Amino acid sequence: MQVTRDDKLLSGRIRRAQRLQVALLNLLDRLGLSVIRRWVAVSNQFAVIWTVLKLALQGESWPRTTRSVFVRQLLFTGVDALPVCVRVAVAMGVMVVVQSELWRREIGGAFSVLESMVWTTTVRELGPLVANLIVIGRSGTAMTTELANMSLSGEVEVLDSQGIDPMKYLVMPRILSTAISVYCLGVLIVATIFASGYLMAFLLNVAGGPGPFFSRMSELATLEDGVFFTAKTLVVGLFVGAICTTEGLRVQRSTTETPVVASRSGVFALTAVFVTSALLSLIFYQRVLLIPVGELFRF
Amino acid sequence: MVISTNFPDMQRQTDRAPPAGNRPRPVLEFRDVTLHQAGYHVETLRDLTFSVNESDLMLVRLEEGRDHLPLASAVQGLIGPERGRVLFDGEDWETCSDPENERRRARIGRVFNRQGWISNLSIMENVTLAQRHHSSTPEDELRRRAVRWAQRFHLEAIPSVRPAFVPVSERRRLEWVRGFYGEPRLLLLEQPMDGVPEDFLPSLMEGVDHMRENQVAVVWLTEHDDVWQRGDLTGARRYIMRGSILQAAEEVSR
Repeated sequence: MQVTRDDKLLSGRIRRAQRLQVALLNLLDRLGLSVIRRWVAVSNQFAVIWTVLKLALQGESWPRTTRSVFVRQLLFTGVDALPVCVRVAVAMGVMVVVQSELWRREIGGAFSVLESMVWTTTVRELGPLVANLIVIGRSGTAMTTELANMSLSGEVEVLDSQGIDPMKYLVMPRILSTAISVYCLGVLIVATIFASGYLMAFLLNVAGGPGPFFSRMSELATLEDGVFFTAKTLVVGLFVGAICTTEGLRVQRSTTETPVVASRSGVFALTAVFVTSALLSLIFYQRVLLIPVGELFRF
Repeated sequence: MVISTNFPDMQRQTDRAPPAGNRPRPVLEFRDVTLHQAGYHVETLRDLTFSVNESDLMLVRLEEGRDHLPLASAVQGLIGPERGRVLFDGEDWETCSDPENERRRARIGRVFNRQGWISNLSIMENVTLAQRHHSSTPEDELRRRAVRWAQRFHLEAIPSVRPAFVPVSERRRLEWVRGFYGEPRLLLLEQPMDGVPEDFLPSLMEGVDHMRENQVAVVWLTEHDDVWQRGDLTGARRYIMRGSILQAAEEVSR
């Protein structure tokens, strides 16, 4: 049978289509694997946090050795971060007030128009976000590095061989101290932003006396703000602690893995902060960006 | 120079001594165990069958350069056997719960083959860690006991600095303190004389003898001829590692 020119063209098209199909399937395969890996990683973090919370409620999980580790971690993650939190919060307070005043002059009206916006932005977004970022940068990567070195040098086995569960001795106190530190530092940051912001507003001659200012702040505070703030600090802090500890303990073979996991844990923790904050915002505001969730599903 | 010492504290344990005439109980049993290499441990061990009773000394000669064995970790139930059973005090590690195994591991004193210190704790905190974790004995009393053991191994004191700041030979003897201290049921010595001058061997052996008098079983792994060839290891059962097989020394010499 003779092979015509048309036959050759057709077989060429079929081969190209097959190659395209294989390429698309490979791409879908990689995407699927990537999604599955991320899903497994997120599920692992949930499992670690759940286990830690269950252990924390059991009295036998808190012998004096574990309590000592918990206190040391609180000192390192929370107390030692106070100076940098104050410095950052003072600067942020000044920036918030300056920006608010600039916009107030642009749109007109009294400063009190922007009070509610400044309050909500600071309590619900800025304060928790800055607290998490400082803890990740200062303590999270250090925790990952410390645990990675312990894992590599066999110290985790040394603990195991003495009948000391590394989960209760190393992981649980670190995760809990991270969450508590983020919460407490968040409170400090919010208070310092308002204090330094008020001072700047006073210097700009746009603020009244301190009494009316702080009584106005207390009027603006709602239960919802408290719940939102607590979720964005405690819950997100648990994830930051879980990521930084578990990444460190994964190191098995070589010291060259240590800087890689330290860097990776910082990136994962940062991602978790933003993603968790966005999800919490979604739950509380029931909006995706500015669109109510109900409207999204109308079509 | 021969260094010798006494261990009066261990006399407390004679209260637990079984009546005369009773057979000593097995503290450690390996029943047809095969261990595969895992992580740090680069050797596979096959068909291990032995038992170590109270007051026994099991001396194992390691082949030079092949000391990364999973044996000690298997003794403590830290790695499970591919085949067979490992029993400590009559109970299989695999069948007990994790909290129970943690309590049982605290009854095994161990001198590690490699780095055995928690680097972010001081030496004193390291030595007393297991006792502080598993008991409610006041810290002052724990420190006093640790210091008494240290003096018996000819250490002036237990440093309050981190392990990295302590010389190697002193650090090794401090590991002896940690292993012996705490009234273990089983003492696991992995090359305890590594980095320690030979002059201190008699004090270590006296410590081992005292533990045996108090019904403690001892497993001693060594590459060193000076330990292996000592004739004063009373009643020691000697074994030799040949590749992945553990052989009784009498079998090897036939």
